[in-house]
Amino acid sequence: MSENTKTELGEIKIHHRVIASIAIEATMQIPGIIKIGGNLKTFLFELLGKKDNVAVKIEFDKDSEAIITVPIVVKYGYNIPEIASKVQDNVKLSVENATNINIKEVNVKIQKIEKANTEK
Amino acid sequence: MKIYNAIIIFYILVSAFLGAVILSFSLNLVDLNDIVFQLNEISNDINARIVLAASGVLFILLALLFAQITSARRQREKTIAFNNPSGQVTITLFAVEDLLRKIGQELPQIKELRPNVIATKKRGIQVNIRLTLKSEINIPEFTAQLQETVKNRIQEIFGIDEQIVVRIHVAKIFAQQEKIKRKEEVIAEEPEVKIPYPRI
Repeated sequence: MSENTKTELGEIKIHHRVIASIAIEATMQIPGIIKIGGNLKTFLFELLGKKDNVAVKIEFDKDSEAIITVPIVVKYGYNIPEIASKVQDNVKLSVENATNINIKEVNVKIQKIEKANTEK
Repeated sequence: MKIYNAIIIFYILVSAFLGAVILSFSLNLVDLNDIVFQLNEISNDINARIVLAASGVLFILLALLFAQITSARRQREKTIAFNNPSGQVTITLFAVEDLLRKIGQELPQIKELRPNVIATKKRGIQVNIRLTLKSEINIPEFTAQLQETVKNRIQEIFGIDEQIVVRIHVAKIFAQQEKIKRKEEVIAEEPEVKIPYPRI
């Protein structure tokens, strides 16, 4: 569950949860995002007291390029393709800058639309 | 979907085995004493009980895994997707239904709006709306307006170019007149108050 990088002094391992946390931070910076998750899996994990980074899925392909899937709940009234595009760009940039991992895809799942008063 | 198929095969085998046991029991092919004897053996043997407990836990885990895979499959079928240069964007139909509910809350003429969105490759997006209207309004005019609003808002917010068909079913009209009548009845039932006539 971690991505390895070798240096002269040894190995650096970045856990998937770390990448997920960066992706969450980058996503939440975009105006119009209420929360991450909103699906059955996240709901069950929330009941068990787990954090929302379980909602973000991190996979690696054969070339060690990451595929990140972010499920989001969007505020009512915002343009979805615009928000999704901003999330994709910001997640890609943030994860690449922080970890030097190449991002192949950032998939965004719009799970729900909620009114602004439900914002956390 | 190898795991999914394996779980299905496993459940078919377990169900078939259980079915065979029940059938043989009902046809008197298996002696009741034999079953009781086997159960006694298991209950007295600690190793057999551990194996049984482990099997129970395995069954529960497999059932949960099966439920998760099935739910994920269903979820995938209920989405609208488009591709961006950075990756794919999927919108669940629940999100589209959420949007329709919010539109319903914005319009004062609507008391209740129940949406159901279906997306197929052939027919595009089909929106079925069940309405309860608040007052006596011109229904054809209002529903035509609503159809247009729904279509435009979906296209505008989700950026969908596909064909959108909006079907509206007015299920009920919330009778405000009934409310007024009830109020009048309550007033009529109230006892008259006698005011003494003042003497000059």
